Amino acid sequence: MTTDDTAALPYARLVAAPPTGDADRGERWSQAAQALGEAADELRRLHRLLAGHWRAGSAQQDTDEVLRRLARHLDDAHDAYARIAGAVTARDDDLSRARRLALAAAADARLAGLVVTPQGEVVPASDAATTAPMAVRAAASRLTARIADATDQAAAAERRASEEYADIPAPHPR
Amino acid sequence: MSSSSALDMDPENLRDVARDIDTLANRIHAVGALVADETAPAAVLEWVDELPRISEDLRQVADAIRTVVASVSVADDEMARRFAHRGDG
Repeated sequence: MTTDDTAALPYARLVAAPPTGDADRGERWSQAAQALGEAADELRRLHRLLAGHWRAGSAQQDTDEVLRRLARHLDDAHDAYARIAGAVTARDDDLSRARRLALAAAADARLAGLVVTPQGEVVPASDAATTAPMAVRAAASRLTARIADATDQAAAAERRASEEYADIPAPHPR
Repeated sequence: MSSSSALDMDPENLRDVARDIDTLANRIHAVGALVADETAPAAVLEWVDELPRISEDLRQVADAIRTVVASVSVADDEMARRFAHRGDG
């Protein structure tokens, strides 16, 4: 993580502008997965071409075995990349939705003359904190709950993505 | 032993296949740049790191093919030279 102390605060982190390049991350993983599927097909085509013109012998057998293995590794990479693409896209979509909910609640808070702390708590402006009427405090706590709901949704999205990543088989050991 | 016991393809065609395998290796290596992300979790980084390994293995296969083609070509040249000498004599 960063040394920025807001990084530890779910609300501040959620509403911070996402790093540039995040927007199309799922799309890039999808493109990579597709490229790997095509690479596996191309390798099998080259393997067939080679096998048709290289008769049995130890060098041929070794190469045959290596090419077969690498095509399998590419298939596995294709599957893993497709799953990562799915997890990344779902996570980023869920986080965007949670961010919009949090920002909408924060906008409503400002309209009501309330303040959102970096912790995601909606409070009356400091000079009115002690004198705010009951209705204002009730509105503040409803908005705080909306923000908490948004950060909970963001945390759930992160958790689902972590679980999905953990489920993806590791590459073949060498 | 004639060279045709190992290969029945024009060495030039086999060199083309080796070159195509190298091109494929480069393409696979470049796919990694699409997803390079230092903040990705370890399970994801493992898969990012897998592509340079597959690329490297493919380059080694291409090198091995070129080595075989080169040695067969040398044998072919040697055979041709001997037959040519016999024809002369």
